[in-house]
Amino acid sequence: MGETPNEFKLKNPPTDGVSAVKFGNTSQFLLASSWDTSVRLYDVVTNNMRIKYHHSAPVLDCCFYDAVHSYSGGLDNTLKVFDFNTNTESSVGQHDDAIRCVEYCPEVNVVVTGSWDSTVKLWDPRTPCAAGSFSQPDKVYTLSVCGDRLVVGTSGRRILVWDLRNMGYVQQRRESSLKYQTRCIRCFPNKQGYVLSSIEGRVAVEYLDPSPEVQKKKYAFKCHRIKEEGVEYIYPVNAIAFHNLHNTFASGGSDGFVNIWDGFNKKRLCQFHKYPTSIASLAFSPDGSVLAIASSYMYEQDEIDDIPEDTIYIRNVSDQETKPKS
Amino acid sequence: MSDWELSKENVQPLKSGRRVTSFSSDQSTLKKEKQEYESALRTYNGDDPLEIWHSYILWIEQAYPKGGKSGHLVELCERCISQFKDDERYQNDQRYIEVWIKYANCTNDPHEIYQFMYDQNIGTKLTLLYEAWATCAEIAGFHKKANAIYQFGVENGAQPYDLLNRRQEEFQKRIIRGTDIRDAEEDQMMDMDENRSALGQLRTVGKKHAVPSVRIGAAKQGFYGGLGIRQSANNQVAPGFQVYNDEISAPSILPAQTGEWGEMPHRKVVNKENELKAGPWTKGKRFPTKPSAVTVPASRPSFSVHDENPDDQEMRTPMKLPDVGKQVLSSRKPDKESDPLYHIRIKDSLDPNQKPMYCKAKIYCGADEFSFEEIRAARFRYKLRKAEEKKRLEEERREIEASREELRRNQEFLRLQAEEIRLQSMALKREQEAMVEKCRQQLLMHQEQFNAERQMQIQRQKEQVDIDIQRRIQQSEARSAASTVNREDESLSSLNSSKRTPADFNNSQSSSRLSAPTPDSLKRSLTAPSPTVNTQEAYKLVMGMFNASLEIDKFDDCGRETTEQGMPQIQHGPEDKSVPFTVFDENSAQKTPDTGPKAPFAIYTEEQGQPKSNMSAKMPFQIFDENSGAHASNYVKEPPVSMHDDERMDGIESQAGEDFTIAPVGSHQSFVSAARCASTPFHPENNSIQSIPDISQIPVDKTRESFYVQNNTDVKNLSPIMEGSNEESDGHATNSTASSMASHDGISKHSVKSIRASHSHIEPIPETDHIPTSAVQPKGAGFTIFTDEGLRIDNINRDDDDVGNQSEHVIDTTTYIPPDIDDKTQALMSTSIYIDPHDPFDAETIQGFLKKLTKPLSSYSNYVAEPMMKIKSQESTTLGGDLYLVMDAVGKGGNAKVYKAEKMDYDIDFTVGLELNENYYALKVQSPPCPWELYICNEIQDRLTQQLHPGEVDVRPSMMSVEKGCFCDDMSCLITKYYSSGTLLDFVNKLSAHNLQMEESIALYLSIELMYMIEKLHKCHIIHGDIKPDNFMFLGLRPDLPECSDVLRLFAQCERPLVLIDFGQSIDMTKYPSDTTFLTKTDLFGLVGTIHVLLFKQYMKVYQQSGTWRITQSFPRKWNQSLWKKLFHECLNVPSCSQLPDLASLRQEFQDYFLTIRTQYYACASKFNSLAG
Repeated sequence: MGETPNEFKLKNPPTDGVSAVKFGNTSQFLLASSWDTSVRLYDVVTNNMRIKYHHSAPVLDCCFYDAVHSYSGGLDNTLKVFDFNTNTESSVGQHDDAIRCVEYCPEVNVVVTGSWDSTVKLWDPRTPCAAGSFSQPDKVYTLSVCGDRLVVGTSGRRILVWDLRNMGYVQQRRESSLKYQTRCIRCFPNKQGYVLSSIEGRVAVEYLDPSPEVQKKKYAFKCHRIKEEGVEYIYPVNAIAFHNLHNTFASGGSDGFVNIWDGFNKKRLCQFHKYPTSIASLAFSPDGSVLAIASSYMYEQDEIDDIPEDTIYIRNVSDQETKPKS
Repeated sequence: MSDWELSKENVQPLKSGRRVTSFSSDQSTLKKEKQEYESALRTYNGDDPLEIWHSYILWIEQAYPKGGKSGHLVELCERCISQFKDDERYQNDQRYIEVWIKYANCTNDPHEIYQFMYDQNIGTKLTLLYEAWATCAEIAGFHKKANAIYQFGVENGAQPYDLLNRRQEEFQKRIIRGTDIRDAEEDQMMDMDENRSALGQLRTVGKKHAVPSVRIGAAKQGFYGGLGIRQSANNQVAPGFQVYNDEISAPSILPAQTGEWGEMPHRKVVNKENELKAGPWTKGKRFPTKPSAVTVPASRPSFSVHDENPDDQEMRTPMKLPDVGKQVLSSRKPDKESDPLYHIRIKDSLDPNQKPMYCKAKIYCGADEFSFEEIRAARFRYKLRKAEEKKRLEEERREIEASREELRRNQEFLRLQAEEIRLQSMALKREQEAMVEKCRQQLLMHQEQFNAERQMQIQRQKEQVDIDIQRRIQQSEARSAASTVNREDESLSSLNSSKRTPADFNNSQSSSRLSAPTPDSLKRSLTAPSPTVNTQEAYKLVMGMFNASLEIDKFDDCGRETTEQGMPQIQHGPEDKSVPFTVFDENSAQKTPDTGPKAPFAIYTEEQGQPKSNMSAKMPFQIFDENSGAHASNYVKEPPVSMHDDERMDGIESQAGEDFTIAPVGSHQSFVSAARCASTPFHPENNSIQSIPDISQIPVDKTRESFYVQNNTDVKNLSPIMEGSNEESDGHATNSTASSMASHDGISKHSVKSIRASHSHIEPIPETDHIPTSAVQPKGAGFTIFTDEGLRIDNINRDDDDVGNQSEHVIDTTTYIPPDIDDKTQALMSTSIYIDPHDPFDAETIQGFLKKLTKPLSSYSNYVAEPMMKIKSQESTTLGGDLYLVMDAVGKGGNAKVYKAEKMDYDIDFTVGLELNENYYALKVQSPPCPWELYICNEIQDRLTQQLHPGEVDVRPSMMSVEKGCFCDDMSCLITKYYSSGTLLDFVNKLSAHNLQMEESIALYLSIELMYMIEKLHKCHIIHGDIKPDNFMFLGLRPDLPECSDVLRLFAQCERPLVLIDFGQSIDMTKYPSDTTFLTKTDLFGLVGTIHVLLFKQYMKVYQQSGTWRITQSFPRKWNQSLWKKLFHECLNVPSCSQLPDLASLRQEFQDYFLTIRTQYYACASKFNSLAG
C-alpha cells in the first residue's frame, strides 16, 4: 500500500486499533485515541508524535478542548483531561460504564460525553467538573454537537436531539431511518441536519427541523457495499467527517474505502483508494485541506488471522475531491 | 420498593416464583447486569452457550417483573431459540425447551409453537413440552387434543416419565370432575356463598356444551372478566385485539374466549402428525385445498390478529405449514410480532445475495444489540479478566512453589542436621569403644603383670617345694619303688598334657542345678537342693568313679614313682576350673585369703587327724596345673581344709597309694572332678571342670597323699549350680564368691575362659562351660574341699569348718589317683563312654528324638499347644482350656519356675470343700519350652503300665505324671498335681528342726520305696538323671500299712508315699545303644545319696579307700548296719557297666528286714507324720 504523494502515514501510530482521530482548531495537530490505551498528539505537519498519554484501559474517544487541552475517555469509564503544556493529566469524572464519545461544544463551552451506561454527561472544562448527567433511553453509541444542539445516537436505533443549554428534556426523539444499528452521527456544519450511518452499509441524511416538509427531504443511501460475483457484501460505515467549508462529508467503512459525498445533491464526489483495513475514523482539518484517515481493523468479523497494521493516514485533499459539483 | 408497591398489579407472576430483590433493584444496576449478561453472551467461548442464554433469560424474567417487556424477553427468547435451533445437543435440553415454552407463552399462539417444536423434534423427549402443550390445549378447551398430546408424550417416551403420567392423570381427573385447570392453578378465593346470578351465562364444558353443576364462581361465563355473554361458536366477534384478562396467569395465553369450544381438530388431522414425520418447514407452501387461506389477512398489523375461524385455522395448519412464508418476500416491514417464528425463519431465508461483512450474530445476539466497540470491549474485558486470573493463579502457584521450596530447604536442613548428629554419635561411639578397648588393654596388662608375679611366686614356691620334696623323697625313698615313679611321672605328665576339659560337663537343660549351702550351722536343715547329677561331666565322673580301671596298678606305681621323683613343681592349684578341687598351696604366704571355688565334694585326706597346722607337713605335693598360670590370681591359697568330722569318720582309713579306684573317666578328668560334678550344684557359667590335677605332682607318698586341689574357679561367678528351687542356692555361689573375692577380683571369668580355652577335651565330651565348681573352703591343714554352707556372701564364715554343713554330696578324692591315661586307656574310655556323637543331654539330640517319635508328642492326650501363654503370680491364666489362678512361685530352677496354681473349676462340688488339694496344681513353667519332660513322664507311665503285673508294686503314682503339658513358642508349662506336703528334703529338715533322729523303720520303709521306684524306672530304661532328696515329693508316711505277712503284697497294697519329680534331665535309654548302661549308675548314686540324706540329714560324702568307695557316715549301731552298708557299697561300687547292682534283690532284703521291724514303723510313723504333715 504505497503512499500517494498527497498522503502519508503518521509515524508512531498507535499499536492497537485507532478509535478516533480529531483535529483541533488547527490543521497542525491531530489527536488520536486508541485501543492501546494511549492518546497521542501528532504534529501532522512535521509528522511526529508530540505527546502521548495513557489511560488504564482502551480509549474510545478524544477531543480537543483548546490547543492545550484534550479530553479523552474510554473503557476505564473515566474522562481525562490532558494539558499539553504541563504534560499533566487529570481525571475529570466517571461514568458507570465505558465512555463512548467525547465531544466539545464550543458554543456552550461544555464537554459532552456519552457512555454505554445510557447517560450523557456534561463537563465544565474550566474547572473542570461535572455539569450534568442525562440519561438516555439506551446506550450511547455516537453523538455529535451541532451548534448548541447535541445529537445522540443510541442503541436501539434511537436518536435524540438535545439542547445543550436546556438539558432538562429531550428536544427530539427519533428513530433512525436505517434499519440497523446506528454507527455514526455527524452534524452538518450548517447545523441543518445530520448524517448518520449504520452497520449495514447505509447512510442517511436527516434534518433537524422537525417540520414535515423538511423531514421529507431526508433520505438514505447505500454505500460501502461491494458487489462481487453477484454477492453484495455489506460493510458497516464506521466514520463520517464533514468538510467544514463545503458541507460535504466523507464516509469511511469497513471495506477500507473513503467516499466523499455531496449530501445535498446526493452524489458521491470521490472515492479514495482502498486502505489496508477498515476505516475506523475520519477527521477533516478545520480548513478542510487535510483529511486524517485512521485505518485499523475493528474486529467486525471477530478475530482474523492476519490483522493489518493500525495506521493513520494524513491526506491532503483538494477541492476537487471535496467540493460539491454543480 | 415504593415503585413496586404502586405497580404491584403489573407484576406478572411466575410459576417459579419471583425474587423479592428484583423488585427493588434500580435501573443502573439493572442496566449493568444486563450489560454483563450481554457481554457474556458475546464473549462466551465455552462448550455450553445455552447456559448463558438460559441464565440470562431467567434473569430477565426476574429482573423485569412487569413481564419482561422492557427486558425484551420475547426477543431474547426468540433469539435464543433461533440460535440453537439447529444445535443437536440442545434438541432435548431441558433449558432449551424451557426457553421455547417461555417464548410460546409470550406469543399469541403457543399451539403453533408447540406444534412446530413437535414437528421439528425439539423437546419431543421431554415431558416439559407435552405438559406445556397439553396444558395449553386444555386451557383452550381442547381436551381430546390435550389427551392426545399426553399420549404423544407417552409414545415418545418423554422423560421424566412419571411426571408425564401424573400430569395425564391429573388432567384426566380434571376432565372427569369437570374442573378447570385454571381453577386448580389459582387460589380459589371465591366466595362460595355467592349466589347464582340470574341471566348470566355459564361456561360450558365439553363437546356437548354441558354445563357444570356448580353454577357459581368459575362456571360463570363472566367470572374472569368479559361480558359474561356466551358467544356463539360461529359468530364470534373477534375483538381484533387481545383482551387482557386478569385471570390469565401468563401473558398472552389464549384468553378463554378464544377457541374454548375446543373444536377438536379432526382426528385425522391430529393423527396426521403421527403419520407424517416432521419435515422441514417449507416456506410459503400452502395447501391448495385450503381456500380459507384467505382468512389470513394479507396485511398483518403489528398486533396479533384474532382468527375467527379457529377450526379453519386448526385445519389449515396441519402443523406443517406455518403460513408466513409470504412475509419474507413482503415489501412491508416485517413485523416481528405477527409471526412468532419470523425471526427464525427470516434467518434462514435471508437474501443469499447479501452478506454482511460483520458479525451480525454478535451484534444482535441477546436482547440488546451491541456495537462493535462494545463487542470488542467485552472481549477486551474478558481477556483482561482471564489474564488477571491467570496472573493470580500464577502467583498462587509461585507462592506454593516458594513454600514448597521452603519446605524442601527445611527438610534438607533437618536432614543435614540429622546427618551431623549421626556422625557425632558415631564418633562418640567410636570414642567409647576406644576407651573400652583401652580399659581392656589395661586390664590385660594388669593381668599379665599379675600373672607374671604369680609365676614368680609360683616359681619361688616351686623351688621351696622342690627342696621340701627332695627332703621328703629322701625320707620316703624306702617306701616307694623307684620304678613306679617314672611311670607315674609319665602318667602324670601325660595327664597333665592331656587336655582337660573343664567343659566336659555338658550342661544340658536343667543341669544347672545348684545346691546352695544352707546358711548356718549343721543344725540347720539341708535346705539346699541336692546336687544335681545332671551333667555329662557328672556322668563321666561318676562313671569314672564306678568304673574301675585296670590302670590302678599302674597308677599305683605311678604314684610312688612320682613321689620318689619328687614332685616337680608345686603348683598353685588351678583356679582354673580344670581341677574340681582346690590345689592347696602350702605357701600360705600367699595372701589369697580365701579359697577358690568350692569343690563339689570334700576331698578327704587321710591325714585327717592333722589339723591345719600340719598342713605344710602334710603337703607332699601340689598339683600343678600348667595352665593355671593365667589364673594365678585365682589361686586359692588356703590350706586345704581338713575333714572336720574326723571324729565322725568311722572306719574310713585312707590308704594312700594302696588301692585306688581309678576312674578311667571318660575324660581325662579325675574321678574327683567327675564325682564332684556329679553331685555338686554348679553354675553353668562357672562350672569348669577342674583340670585334672597334675598328677605328676601327686606325691607318691601315699601316707600323705592328698590332693590339694585348689579350685580356683572364679569364685565370683561361682554361683554354682543354681537349682533355682531354692533361693538360697545363691549361697553356693556366694560362698565361692566370698571366698575368692578378696583374692581375685575380676579375673574370674576371664580366667575361667582362658582355662577352658586352654584345655581341649576328649571327643565325645563336648566342651561346656558348665563345670561344677564349688568354692573350696579349705580349712585347716587340709585339703578337704567341701562347701561350707556357712559361706555366704554376706556372712563369710571361714571359721565354720563344720563339715556337716555341706550342701552336696561330697566325693572325697584324696585318695583317688586318676589313672594314667595313655592311648589305650583313652581308647577304652572313649569306647566305654562313647555313645553318640551327642551326649544324652544335648538339647538338639532331644529335639531330634522327639521329632522321630513314632507317636509324636503332639498326639498325646495331655499335650496342648497354646498360641501364647502368660503365667504370672497372682494372675489368672487359661491353659489347656482350663482357668487357673496362679498363686505364688514355689520353686525356681535353671530355666524353670514352679507355681502353685488353683484350678478354677467351677463344677466342683462346693460341699466337698475347697480345701481339697485336688484343685491345686503345680505349674512348671520353663522357658525355652521343655517337651522332653512331658515325653518322659508319659513314657514312664506307659512303660510302667506295660510292665505292671497284678500283685506287683505299682510305682506309677510315684512318678510325676503330667496332667497337661501346655506348649507355646517360647515356653512350656507342665501342669501336675500339687503336693503340699513338700519334698523329702523338707521332711528331713523338719525332722532336724524338731531334733528328731531318723528311725530305722521309717528309713527302711522309705528306702524300699525309693528302691522300688528306681528299680522300676530303670526297668523302663529310663534314667532320671537327677536323683536327690528335693526331687522327691513326700506325701506322708502311711501309718496304717496293711497287715500282711507277704511283704511284697504289703507294699503292693499300700499307697506310695513318694513322688519322683523333675524328669527334665532324664534319659530314655531306649534311644541309645544298649551298652550305655553307665548312666544307670548315676541314678544309683543319687539313690544312695538321697537315702543318705534321709538317714543322716546330711549329704553324702564318699571317699575312696582301698579302691572302694565308702561313705563317711557311719550307721547307728542299733541299725542293721550290714544291710545298709551293703546297699551303699553296692551302689557306690559298681564293678562295671555290665554288672549293675541288683536293686531288686537288695530291695528284697530290705523288705525282709522291714518285715521284722514293722512294728517300729507303726510306732514312729504317726509321730513323724504329724510332723511332716
